[in-house]
Amino acid sequence: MKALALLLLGTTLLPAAPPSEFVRQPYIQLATDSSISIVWRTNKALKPVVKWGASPGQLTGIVPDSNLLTRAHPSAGGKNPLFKDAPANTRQFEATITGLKPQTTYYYGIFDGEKRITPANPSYRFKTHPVPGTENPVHFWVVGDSGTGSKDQAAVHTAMVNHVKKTGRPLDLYLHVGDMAYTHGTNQQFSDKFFNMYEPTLRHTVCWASMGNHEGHTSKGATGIGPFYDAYICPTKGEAGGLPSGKEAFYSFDFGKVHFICLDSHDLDRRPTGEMAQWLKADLEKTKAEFLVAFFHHPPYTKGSHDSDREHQLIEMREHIMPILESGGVDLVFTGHSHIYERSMLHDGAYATPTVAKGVIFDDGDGDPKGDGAYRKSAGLQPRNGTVSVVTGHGGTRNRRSGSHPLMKKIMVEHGSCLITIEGDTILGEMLNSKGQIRDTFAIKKSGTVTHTPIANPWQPAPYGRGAKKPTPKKTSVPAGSVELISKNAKWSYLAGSHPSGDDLTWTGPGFDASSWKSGKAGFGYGDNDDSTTLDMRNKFTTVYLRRVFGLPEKAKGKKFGLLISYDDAFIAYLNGKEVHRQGIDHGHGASAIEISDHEAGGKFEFIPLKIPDGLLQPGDLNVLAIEGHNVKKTSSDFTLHPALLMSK
Amino acid sequence: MRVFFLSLVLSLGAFAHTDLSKTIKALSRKIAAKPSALLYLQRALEYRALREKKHTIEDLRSALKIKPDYQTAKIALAEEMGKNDEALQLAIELSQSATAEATRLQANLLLARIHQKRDAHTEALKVCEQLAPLAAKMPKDDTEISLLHADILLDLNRAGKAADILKASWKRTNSIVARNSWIDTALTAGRTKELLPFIEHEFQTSRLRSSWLIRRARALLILGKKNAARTDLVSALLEINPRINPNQPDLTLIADRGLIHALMENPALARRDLTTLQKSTLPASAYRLLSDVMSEANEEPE
Repeated sequence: MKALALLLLGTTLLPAAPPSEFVRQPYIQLATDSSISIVWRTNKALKPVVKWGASPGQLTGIVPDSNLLTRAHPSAGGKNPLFKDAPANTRQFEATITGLKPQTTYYYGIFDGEKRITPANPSYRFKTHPVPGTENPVHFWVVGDSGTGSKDQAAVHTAMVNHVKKTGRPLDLYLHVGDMAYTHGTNQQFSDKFFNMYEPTLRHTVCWASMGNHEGHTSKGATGIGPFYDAYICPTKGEAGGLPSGKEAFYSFDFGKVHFICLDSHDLDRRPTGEMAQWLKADLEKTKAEFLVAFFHHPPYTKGSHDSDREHQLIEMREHIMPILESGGVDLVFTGHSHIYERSMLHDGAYATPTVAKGVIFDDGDGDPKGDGAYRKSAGLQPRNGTVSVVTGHGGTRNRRSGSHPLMKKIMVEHGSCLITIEGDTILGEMLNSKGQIRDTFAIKKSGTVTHTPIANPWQPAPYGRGAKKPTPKKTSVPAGSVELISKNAKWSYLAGSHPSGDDLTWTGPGFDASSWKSGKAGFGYGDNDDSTTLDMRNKFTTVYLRRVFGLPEKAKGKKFGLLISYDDAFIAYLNGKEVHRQGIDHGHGASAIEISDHEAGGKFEFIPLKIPDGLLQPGDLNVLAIEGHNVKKTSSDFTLHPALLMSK
Repeated sequence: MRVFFLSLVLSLGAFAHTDLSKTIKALSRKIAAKPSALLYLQRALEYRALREKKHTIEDLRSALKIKPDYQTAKIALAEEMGKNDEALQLAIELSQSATAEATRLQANLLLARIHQKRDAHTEALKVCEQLAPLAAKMPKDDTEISLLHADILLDLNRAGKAADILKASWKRTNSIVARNSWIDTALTAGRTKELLPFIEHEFQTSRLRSSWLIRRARALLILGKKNAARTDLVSALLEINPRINPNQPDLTLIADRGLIHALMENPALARRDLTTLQKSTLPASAYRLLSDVMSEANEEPE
């Protein structure tokens, strides 16, 4: 089975060249546990035939004419004409295959009469959904605001494809949260900026989409008419699970024990009296899924390129729709519109305008299983048990940040997308940037009964933007009776002028081999005549890495620890591989650290108490303090990194 | 119940690619250099997205000064004006001047809604009844027309006819909102026989059952089974209360809870929820059932 999966993945990466007969290559839509639709376009008449079977070379099934729909420009007449901006000679073919087995991979071929026009290649395949309610893991991709046709959009897609290859875990489905065809969502823009960009993925993975404001220039949710509605076949009759909406603009579908809800936040009535909200309430009452994921375009919480405290579509989604979703037990909400990645803490009841964090945060940790630990929720769908909101509007257009939203734990201004896995009792979310790096990880573990109490004064992200005052670090004096675990004039291993080898943060852990690094006495730097180890870094590089192994006495349990440090401009400290403090660096680390603030050391040392999880430090000589120091820019006049580690009662 | 005619205006609003204030500044520069009706409309819709009503109206008026027959601007302005005489006049003009069937349909929906807001229910019904042949010519049937039509009929205490329209809409579109509205309206009309199998099935197959417990209780009350109805209402209350955030409640659940209290003849508690709803921005149709039950119990809603 694994071998087959790898074979399939291989074909994903090396797809057959798209056949030239098509003006829109074949893609799959509306997967259920027993059916699927295949859609493609040509610019000439053909006799459409679709065959399917258990292998690319054995297509034993044939789609009957009654399940084949041909759509054309309105001038050509016919049933369900395409939107008027499609070229006059365009034909869109929609074939529906029924009577399939659940959770089964099939292969398909498209023919013009007897002539096969898709190659006998295993990338032309689909997998049916599991029966709703059955135990099946799901792995899906979430993208927003991508439709530029740019290299950034392509890089985000490539990063996902490479990640899938690396992990050996193929996608089960793809969610798009809108703005997939800038700037007006025309037929041509859909072809150029969506279908052509994602073609190798779309031929075997269903994209379930919500409409963005840019598609809204030409497509209307109320009527279901426009290029967006030509492109997608959405469930209106409850055929993929969930209740019939009667409209393609909002709908739901099931994948195993996960219920997905798509809403139209752009051009429909968002109030509780509106048809969409009434359907949503009924749909939430009906579902017996154990996980609930909602997605739509306009974010209830953001301070990216849009502001959820000022704009009415965003405010209405927060004030009217979020209460219905949370009283129905939603776990995850994905949105876009704001060109940024923002991921919240676990929250409930944050409907006020402006949004405040006080009293609405259940867990202000990072949700990372390797960090503060996964967010906890009760098993099944329990009303008001906590939501994680994710703005993933960083799929390919220019990113921007305007502030710090008080609900957000992670805010990143870089291109990327989200990969989500729901397996067993856990939702695992990852943000994959366009360079292929996992930049954020969070999890929601749902088991037993979990009762939350809102945190009165939760953690808050640092202020950002015009008028934001950087918090002044609280001056803390060195505790009386402190002993030095690493002294001010200790020798360190250091790396200057390049970045550590190995994956990610392995250099910060005890097992890392730093024998190739140089050795020098603290402090490190240049330009202010106070450095024991002078570094030639001006106009050359901005980052220096330090490591020092230190011993911990047997009776260290219950003791407090702190850094005594002189720094210019910023640093991140790690103990035994875990980040324990960052100063002046808003996001990222190492080569990807961004938004670095300047700070003058001035020959002074500051004492910074460290919060260290139980069990992180071990008695003996195998503990490691690692520090990365950053200068704001290469041309800075000076740099200082001079740390010591203290222990006190 | 305003999706269809709202859509024209909403769909034109807030297209900004980024910060709306920057978009407004850019549009202002263009208007200063060479004003046009389209630019004023675009800026009006950005102001609308920021809920700046005064500027929205000013820009829509400016657009109409330049291009007096600009239908999109007229619709947007009528929508902003709510139910005043100017809104009515604009909607009448639009319904008479629109030539394209889609625009005529939207204009008439707008006119029907304004009549309804002005409590001119007979006029609203007249307009709505003229919509049916127009709607039939549209490529996709829209539930919203039927929902509005039924709502106006309920204003005129014609629940039976409203239920028939909703049932037909459900059969045509599969919309669960049309179906549930049909059930609610048919219960108001005093029907139970045809409904009970649906209610029972949904009750049995739903995760959260309070809506169906309320509907079953309403049917049981019509059949004179007061004790059984009370049992259902108590169960519904037990399910609903933990779902309600006391500080920021889901108003749809407040409407349900108020109805439960009203049906259980707890007027003080029902009035508390009704007051919450009346203080909200929700239109009265959102809690029509609650208001009706309290009126029947001689408990005058405020």
